[in-house]
Amino acid sequence: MSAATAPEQFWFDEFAARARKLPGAGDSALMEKREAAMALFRRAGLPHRRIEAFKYTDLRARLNERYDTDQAAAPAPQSALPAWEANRFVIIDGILSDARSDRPEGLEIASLAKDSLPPWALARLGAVNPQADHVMSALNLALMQDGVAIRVPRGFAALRPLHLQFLETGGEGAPAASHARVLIVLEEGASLTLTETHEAATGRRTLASRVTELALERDAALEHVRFTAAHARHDRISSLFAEIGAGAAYRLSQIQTGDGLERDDLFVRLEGMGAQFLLGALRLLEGTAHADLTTIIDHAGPGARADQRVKSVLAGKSCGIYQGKVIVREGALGTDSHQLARAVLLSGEAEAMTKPELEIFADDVKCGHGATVGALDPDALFYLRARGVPLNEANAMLLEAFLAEDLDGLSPEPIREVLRTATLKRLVAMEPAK
Amino acid sequence: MAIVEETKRQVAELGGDKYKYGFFTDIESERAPKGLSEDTVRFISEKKGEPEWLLAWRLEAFARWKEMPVPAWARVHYPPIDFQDAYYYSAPKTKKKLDSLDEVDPELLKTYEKLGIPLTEQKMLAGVAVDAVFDSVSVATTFKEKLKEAGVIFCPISEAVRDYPDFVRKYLGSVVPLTDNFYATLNSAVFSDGSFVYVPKGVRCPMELSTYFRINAAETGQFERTLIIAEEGAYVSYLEGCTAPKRDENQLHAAVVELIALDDAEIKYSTVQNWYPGDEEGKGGIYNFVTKRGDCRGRNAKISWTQVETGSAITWKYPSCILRGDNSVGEFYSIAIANHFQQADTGTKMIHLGRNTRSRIIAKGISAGHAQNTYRGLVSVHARAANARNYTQCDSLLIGGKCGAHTIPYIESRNPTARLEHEASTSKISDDQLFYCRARGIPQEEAVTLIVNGFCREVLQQLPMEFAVEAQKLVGISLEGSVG
Repeated sequence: MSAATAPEQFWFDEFAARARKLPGAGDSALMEKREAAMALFRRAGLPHRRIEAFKYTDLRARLNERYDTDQAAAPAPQSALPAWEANRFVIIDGILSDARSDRPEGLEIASLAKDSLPPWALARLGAVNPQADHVMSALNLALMQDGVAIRVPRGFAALRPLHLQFLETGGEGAPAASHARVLIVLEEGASLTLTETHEAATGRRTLASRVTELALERDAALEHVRFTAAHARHDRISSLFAEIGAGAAYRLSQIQTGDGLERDDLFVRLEGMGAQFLLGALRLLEGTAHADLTTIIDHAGPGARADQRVKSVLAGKSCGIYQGKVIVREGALGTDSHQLARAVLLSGEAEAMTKPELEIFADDVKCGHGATVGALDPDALFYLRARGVPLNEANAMLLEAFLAEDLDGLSPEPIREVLRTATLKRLVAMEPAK
Repeated sequence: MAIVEETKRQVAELGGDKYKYGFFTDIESERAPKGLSEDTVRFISEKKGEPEWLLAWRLEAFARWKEMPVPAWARVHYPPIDFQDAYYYSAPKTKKKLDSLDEVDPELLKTYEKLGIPLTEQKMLAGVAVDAVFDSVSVATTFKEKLKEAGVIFCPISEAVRDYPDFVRKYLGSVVPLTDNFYATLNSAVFSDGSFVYVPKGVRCPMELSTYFRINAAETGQFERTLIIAEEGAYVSYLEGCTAPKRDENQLHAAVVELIALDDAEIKYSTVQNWYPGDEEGKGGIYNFVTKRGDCRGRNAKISWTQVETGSAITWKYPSCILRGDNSVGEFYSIAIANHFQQADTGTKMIHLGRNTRSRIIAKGISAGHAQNTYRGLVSVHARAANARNYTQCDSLLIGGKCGAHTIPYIESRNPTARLEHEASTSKISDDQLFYCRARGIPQEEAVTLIVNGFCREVLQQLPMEFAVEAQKLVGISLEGSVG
């Protein structure tokens, strides 16, 4: 790479200064991984718009602060969402809070900062569906402060959902950054419901770098619901790496309601017969929100199925980006892979960028994508208004219909109700179309 | 052009029969010295007796080109091209006329027959002296008179530079600017020749310019430059290329086509490209790196691109429309067939700038053998383009398990009143359809042709009638050897 920019140099210095103090500094295997990851970051630098996958999201320009990475001892924030029954892990500013977290039975849990890593975690860390030259996850690994590794043993069905609650403290002060990571291994035939919420208190600028690694062995099943509410000064850079074995199923439902910067990379590798991946993503953005969802679904083995549905409602000056790539490898016969991207623009300054990409090297496949971008149907709006429904309610009604199938499909039920309420509240608050 | 040794040999072997009868060898004196330098550019400009401003333009392009990196983003792979190992100018080649069709390579004749090309035309294409009844010169003259009557200018661009310098100066490079991209800039520096069309206000061009073109198919060289201008309310339909296979010793073709449609004007541009694709092992073949762009500069203007791409080892081509005028319309209909080791990376850009602009994209890609076929497209709606509409459909068909089909569409909307729809599908030829045909006694290969033609129907319909028939047969020929 050419000469490092100031934001890049900041991270080089940060690593040089902190490497010895990071968790696991005494563990040579972990330190090797960190060094290698930092070397990649040094080589490639922060991704910028000349890099195709970051065409719409220039991180070099956006992540330009000198962050404070020593965590402030601000009062621990509370979630704005009603609680539901679950085994909770609370991660505040990237640090797992022991006091507020449960230790569910039947699962093997390791804190990435405090416990010395068990071999099953160390072996997988940074190694689940790895992507060459993925800079942001490398930076995360190099500077990772904490996180949690969870193993669901063979055949175990975790009945109580597991809830990962990410909270960022606000208040005054220098911009803060944190790097945290979650590793979940579902052994053969295991099943789990995982919910994940990301909330940031208002105030100082924050950067949350988050990486999730999911390994689903044969016939495992994971139901994953993720809710984010980022504010304008909160940047969330998240990467998810998943491997899905034969017969295993992974469903991710993601709802984003923020007005901050969110970059979600999603790498899913479907490894064999009957492997399944379903994505339902809803984005309700306003203000200066910039949400970039970039997915790479890799059909590495035959007979796998993937279905991606991404819906965006864009108000204010928000920008909703979906770059979805489906790769069907040679020999991945019988693949069934579909993408649907729909965006509704509510304002003259909102932007929708969609890039559904197919890369296919096998002939006996069924692949397709559809994309639509537009405003709400003026005829439908007129119909409602003629019947006395105020404009913003009419808008919300049509938007609710637009999102209904995804909201109704959320599971399990208590979470569905909480998220449906949060989503609809948000819809009514969104500015109506002119 | 920059032929790797191996390719040179292959082309010679494969085209041997034809070249045996083909060209005079005494061409050294008409060639620019090998390599590319400012002197080459000056040499070309001088040979053509160009005015000072055009030379300056070429030189600027050359200077810019030297600074530009070779684009690497397309999904095509080829060894680096040595731009110094080539001739950039050679005078139009005079072919030795043959006495009868008996002297022509029987393989070539077989293909002509399959395409259903009339005998006289076969003779012309193969370079056989044509009898007096169908003298191409006289036919051409008749056409020329008819066009003159209508006020349409249709001539080689080098002639236009001489005879209509104001038009050329005003419009050349106004759609594809000097520094547009690596190959377009190279073309700007060294373009050999091409066509110039000017249709005056309110005139509907009395004939498909295709007819004329085919009969008058002159050697335009590897750096072709085409400029078509349709004034207010004018209409013109232009067909480039030919269904008949042509062997060509130039390996790199970097053409530029610029279309300008003013208020209420319409330009229909159809291409059938069947250059040498290389052999079944992927040796040799033409690199076709083309920049084509149309500018709907006026209100209610319309530009329609139709292309049937079956030839060339590598196709790199994105005929685009800039929808600047309010209510203007852009269309792109494409069939790209890649067999054996061919690589095609093609698509379009629809840039919606004006209000109520509409665009439609129908792209059909067929991959067979070890070929890689990519659709790459951009639909961009700018903030001012209220009520813009786009519909895109790109379908891919795979024949065999070793080929690839890729779809990379970019859909960008910055206006809430715009409506964009995009659909894409990828599948193989349906076993049921194949079985149905075979059970009725249709041989495998014919059945595939039939099904593929059905798959391409929407695009074939857009071609001028006479070419649609040939193109349909061409589809079958291109897929020969892909099944069984």
